[in-house]
Formats: sequence, structure tokens, C-alpha cells
Amino acid sequence: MGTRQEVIKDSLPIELWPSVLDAEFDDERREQFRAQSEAMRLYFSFVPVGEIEQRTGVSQTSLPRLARRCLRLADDGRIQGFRACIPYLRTGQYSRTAELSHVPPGERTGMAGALGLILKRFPDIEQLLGKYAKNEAKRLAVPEHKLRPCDLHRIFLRCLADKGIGPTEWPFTTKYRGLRSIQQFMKETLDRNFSRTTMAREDSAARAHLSVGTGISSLLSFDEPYDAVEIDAYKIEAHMTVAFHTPEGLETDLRLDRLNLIAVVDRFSSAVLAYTVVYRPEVNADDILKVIRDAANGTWAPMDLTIPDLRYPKGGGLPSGVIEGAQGALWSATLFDGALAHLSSAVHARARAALGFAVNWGPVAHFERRPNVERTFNQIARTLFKRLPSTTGASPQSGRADEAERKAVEHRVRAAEVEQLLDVAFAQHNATPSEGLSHLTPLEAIRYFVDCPERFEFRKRPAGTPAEAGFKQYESAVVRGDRKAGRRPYIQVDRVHYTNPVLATSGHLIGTRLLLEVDEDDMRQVRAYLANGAELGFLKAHGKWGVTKHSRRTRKAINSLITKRLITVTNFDDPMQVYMRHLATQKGKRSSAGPRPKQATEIVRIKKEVGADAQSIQAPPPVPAPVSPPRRVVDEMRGRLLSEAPSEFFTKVKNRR
Amino acid sequence: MPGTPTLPSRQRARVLDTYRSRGHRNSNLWLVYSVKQNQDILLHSDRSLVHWLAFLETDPSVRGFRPITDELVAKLGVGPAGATILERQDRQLEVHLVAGGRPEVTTVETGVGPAKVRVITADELQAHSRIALRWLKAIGYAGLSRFSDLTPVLNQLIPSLERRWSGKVADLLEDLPGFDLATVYAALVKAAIHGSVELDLTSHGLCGASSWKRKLTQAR
Repeated sequence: MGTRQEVIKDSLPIELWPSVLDAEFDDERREQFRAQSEAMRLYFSFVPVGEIEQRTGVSQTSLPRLARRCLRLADDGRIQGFRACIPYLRTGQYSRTAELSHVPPGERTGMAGALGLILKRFPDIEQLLGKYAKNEAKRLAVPEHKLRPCDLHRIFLRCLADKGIGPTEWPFTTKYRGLRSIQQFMKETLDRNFSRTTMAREDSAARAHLSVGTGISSLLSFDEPYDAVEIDAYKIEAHMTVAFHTPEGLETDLRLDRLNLIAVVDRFSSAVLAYTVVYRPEVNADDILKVIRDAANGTWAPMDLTIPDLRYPKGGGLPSGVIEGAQGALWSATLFDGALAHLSSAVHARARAALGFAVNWGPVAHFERRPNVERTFNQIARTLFKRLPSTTGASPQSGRADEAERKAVEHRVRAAEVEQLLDVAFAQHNATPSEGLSHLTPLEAIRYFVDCPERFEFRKRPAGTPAEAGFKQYESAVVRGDRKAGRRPYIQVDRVHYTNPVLATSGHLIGTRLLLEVDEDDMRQVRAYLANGAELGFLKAHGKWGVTKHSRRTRKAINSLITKRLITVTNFDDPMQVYMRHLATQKGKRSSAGPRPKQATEIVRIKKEVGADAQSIQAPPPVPAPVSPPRRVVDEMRGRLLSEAPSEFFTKVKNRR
Repeated sequence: MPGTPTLPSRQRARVLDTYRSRGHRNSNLWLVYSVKQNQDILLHSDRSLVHWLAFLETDPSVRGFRPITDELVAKLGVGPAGATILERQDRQLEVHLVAGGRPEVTTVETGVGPAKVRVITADELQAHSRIALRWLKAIGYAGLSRFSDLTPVLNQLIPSLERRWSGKVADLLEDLPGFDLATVYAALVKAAIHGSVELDLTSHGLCGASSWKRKLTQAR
């Protein structure tokens, strides 16, 4: 029993005990609970036990037992406290003490606590079963992925057999041989070790969810707009097409490859700051840079909507276009996931140096670290892409439309029109009240701060800083030329010559290195500096390379085709046109079909890059019929060829630049 | 024979290696610009970020800091990512263990002198996190002007600080009409991080209404 001092010694002060709400108790139970609670208060205040019994009616002999019960540890890691005073509450595990009597098979009575009894008899079995259930038995056997209760039951029976439990003992005397008890045991074990078993047994989504909802506030809380933005890419869950004008003057639709969407979403307000649709099956660092540049320097303007009855919500749009002063606003931290494009130096070195933000890469498979952008994508998918007849759904088993590719062409789900829907959807998103923002819209939440200049202002680059400043690539090139051969000085970047009138007359620079400032989105010209830092001006690309806007990526793609001798670009050809003509001639399986999805997507991308109308693709003009070879003159008498065909060497077409 | 890797390529490799070597670690990786050290720093968790902002970068009594050495890692029994050795303005050395365990030693030999060991608890970090994160925006201004020469601004800013001694940031902007707002902010943040002025970000992020106070120590 022990004295009161022994019981109370080192106990938690009674004010800190877990409490009980007795509002739902019936009168008798409430009265009993209150009496016991009061008795404990008095007991721990060292009121004489006789007086406690007199005042509360609780027997003085039961007080030490009740006190110990109150101080016992509960499953939640705290003491039972006043919870132990709840009448008829079981605070410990049920433990059977009676021997198991023989019950005929099929009977379900008299078996309560049978498993507990046998586990008490063989504690090592309980330990082993717990390890298997929690997927901790890796060192004991080959770990089984997500062990099922029936498998655990089999292990249980094997253990019992090893211990010598005969067929006349439980569980072998029952119909299911203790299966239900093992199922319950496993459920309780998994529930009791919630975090551990979720980490060990469940998929990455479950593991990611485990990190949230812990009741502990996050260490990082961004409490102003533009404190942090989340950037992520999303593979659009629908097939889309582009209009194709056939040589016969008809219009048909060509299916595109799966497109991607990249969005920049503000962490505080959930407003979409910028987005871009990527006409490529995979996103790369250039696309990320583009969307960062758009968010930092771009100004949103509504599209010219061609879909009937489609209109922007009143006051909706992206902040750079609808909030005064938000254009050019910079953010303090960028939150990425671990995609390779996000880890590129173009992003973490150039963009960061240009805009001055900190970069964060979240852990693998933890999408919950960027909740706003993930939620925005989910919302756009639900409201737009998954409703299209050509939706691919989240997976082949989830939401995929039958014959989605065919339906995209049949229903003319055109990318240009989906882009309009997307722009309106983002404008709507930014103008939709959110519970998390006290029923303000994301735009209103930003405006709230903008309207309080005494506590907030946007961080911006110094006035007059060009939009491209800091994003450009710096590299060096050697000036080439030859006075003896009359070749004027030039430099070469990606197999194209660049020069300007100053460089062309600076023969003394031949063999020296120039520092180049390259805008990889527009390779028509580069800015050159001498080794001492003096500016040499803009050097223009030779031939038509200096006329049509093109990116470095496109230049490399064209160069690759030239190397493979698949296309020939002369000084008089526009490389972009040659490239697009080449892509348009890469036909599908049917002879009448246009370019394949991959090539069609690339053509649309190039058209967007050069600033041309990307809503349709024109079929290349028909290739003139090949000139028939010269007639062969055969000496019929002797059977020999009189006119010799030119050798194969002379018929080869050499790539000319 | 391959040439010496350039600084950007080394940084790229470092970032990639660091990210990949983390495996499935459940923490964020941060790349930040330290004004105090004038270099980029990789931080391995949100706790390290708050520690860097609150206890290293914006603490004017800290002269410099660097990651803990391998020997100290072994001595203290902590991960290299969670510990930093720092030097105070009075040349005293200190080792900070970020939300780490309880080391048995209170002083440790660092190779350049004895250092006091201090454990920065999770509660301390939580208490500092709100204001610390506001410094990200301020440091962003300094990051923008990282490769710019701020001497002309500082030449006018310092006398203005001396004359006024305290006030609002907007007052300083009035004193420097020829300079862009972002440039003045960058110079002010640099001065604050180097300890010549105290910026008050307790109620909101850096803006014209933020308070400042001159400090006796001079900017280095």
C-alpha cells in the first residue's frame, strides 16, 4: 500500500493533471466522478483521510489505490490524472487470468483474452510478431513489403508449433485458429506506432502527409507577400492538338506531345505570380529561368479570348498586371523541389545573383513542403485538364479517358485554346476568396499590404536595370581572322560567325580573347568586351542567323541536324524555316498524316520562340519532282553502256553554311 | 588534359553533390548569400537557416563563422551540418550546436584556441524565427548589389547616419536623393550586418518605415 508521502512523492502538481469534461456523463456517473476527483484534490493536499471520506463519501481505504491509479502513465505518455477518476474506466490492458476451457469448434464464447494469455506465456512471440507487424524484422528474415494480417497469422501459428502447442490448445481448437485475434493485434500495434509504421509500410504520399498536422507550428512562417515563392512543374494531364494546314488547303489537327506547366506561386497569399506552358515533354533549366524572369520583370495582360462566352473574372488576373506597383516585385526565397532543372547553375547562380533571393530545395518526395503550388496544380487539374475529353487522368487507372489521344484530335482540343482557358483559370484562382486568408482573395491579400506603405513595400531591382541583366551567360571566345587570306576578324559561337564593323577592322585583336555576354534566348547578337573590360559593342550573327530570333537550344538542335547531314543551311536560307520545314516533313505512319507529335510540338515551340503565330502549322510546300537522270545510252549491238553515270562522289550534297 | 574547373561549375557540382548525398533526408537544403562572409553558404535545414540568420549573420557581435571541423565533429559527437564555430568581435571563439544533443563538454579546443560550447535549442530558434526570416528580404537587397560598388552610397550614408543617429529609413532616403532606393537599402543592410547601425525588423520587413539606430562600432 505505502504511505501517502510515498504515493505523492515526486508526483506532478495536481493543477497540471489531465482534466476531464463530465458534461456528457449521466447524473450518477458524474456524481461519482466528482466525488473521486474531489477526494484526490484533498488527498494530495494532505487533508486527513477521515475527513476526505466524510466530505466526499469515497472510502479512505481506496484513496491510496486511486491516487496510484491517477499517477499511472497513460498511452499518450502523460499521467492518467483525473481521467483515472472516471467510473468504470479501464486504465490497464485486459489480462485474462482464468484458464481457457474447452469450447466446441464454431462456438464463439469464452475466448476473451486468449491471445493475451498465450502471449503472456510466450513473451518472445509477442516481441517477434510486433517486429513483423512494424516491418522491423529485417534482420530476422527477408523483409516482406506490407505484411498482411493473414501472413502474420501464419507466422504466429508456426511460432506456436515450434513452442510445442498441440492441436488441443487454443488457437488450434477454434474455427479460424485465432485469425481475428491476430488481425486485432496487428491493427492495435500499427495504430499504437502510428509514425513508425507509416514510415516503414506506407507509400511516399503517406510518408509526406505524416510531416504535417503534428500540432507543432512550423519553424518557418512567411508573413508577408513575396517573402517566398514556390516554383514547380506539372505535366499537363491531357492531350492537345495544333491546327495543321495541309498542302491541299484543308485544316486538320495534329496531336502534340504531353506539355508541361510551370507556375510561380506566392507562399503567403497563394497568388499565381507567373506561369508558362512548356512545349516539350520535359522541363529544363531554360524554362525555369524564363518563368523566373516573367515573374520578376513581366507584366501580365489579358489574352485575346477567341472561345465564345469565355471571359476573365472581374478584377482577376496576375498581380503584375492588376496590382499597381507589383510589376517588377522580387521575392526573398524560392522554394524548389529536387528536380534536375531546379538544381542547375543557371537557376541557383545566375538567377539568384540577378534577383538576390535565397534558394531552397525541399527533400525528395515531400510535396507538402510546397503546399501552395501543389494545391494550385491540383485545383487547375480538377477544374480544367481532368474535364477535357482527352484527359489522361492522374494515371492509367485513375481518370483516364478512353482513347484520349484520338479524342484530342476528334474534338480539336487545341493547345492555343487551352492556354486561354488556363489564363482565365489562373486569373480566377487569384480572384477567389480563400478561407486561409480570412476570406480575402489572393489579390486582395497582396493589396492589403500594398495599401499599407508604413509597413510594407516591394523589393525591386535598382531603377533602370534592364530586364535581362544578370540572366545572361558570360563566356569567352578567341578572335579569328587572317590578314593574308583577307578574312576579317570575327568570333564563333555555336558554329556561327559574329562580327561588327569595329571588330571587322580590328586586325590587332586576332588571336586575343573577348568576353561575351550571351542572351541564350536570343542568339542573333552577343555583346563583346575586351579583356580589359572595355566594351566592343554588339556582334551580329552572320547571314540569316542574325535575322530571325532563336534560342541557343534551337541553334544546337539545328547544328546537330547539320552535322548529321539531315538538313543543309546556306547563307541565303533562314535556319528557322529550314528547321521547321524539316520537322514538318517528318511524317507519321500514314502517308497523308502531318508531322508526328514530337515534331509538331517542336514546331509550335519554335514558332513561339520566334514570335510567330503558333496557333497552326503550315504543311511544307510540295517538293518538286526529282529531275529524271539522263537517259542511259546503251550500245545495243555490244550490250554496253555508252553514257556513264556520274560517280557517287559528285552526286553527294555537301553541307554549306 | 582537363582545365581547372570554373567557379560556377564548382558551385554547381557542390550543390548537386550536396543535394544528392542527402538521400532521403527529411530536411530542406538552403543556398544563401552571406553578406558578412561575402560568400554563398549551403545550409542543411530550416533550423540551420534560422540559426544563421539570427545568431550569425545579423548578430553584430559575431565577427565571422565557419563550419565545424571533422575533429570537432568527432569530439562533440554531432553532425557537421548542425554545428558552427564562430568568432566574436572580442576574438572569443564559440561553438554553436543547432538543436543538437547535450554535449558533455562546455569548452572545446578548436585548433586556433579554446571555444565555449553552446547548444541552440529548438525553442530559441522558434523564438527568433519570425524576425530572422524578415532579414531574408533585407539580405536580398544586399544580394542584388553583391557585385556592385557601394562606396559612393556608403560615403554619403555614413555621414547621414552620424548626423541623425536614429530615425526611420525613409529619412535616409531623403538624405540620399541621387541614389536608387534598392542601392541605399543594400548599403544600409551591409552596414547593419557589419554592426555600424541597428535595424529594427521586429514589427515588419525592411521598408521606409523601419527604424534604425546608429551604433558605436564602425563598419569594416
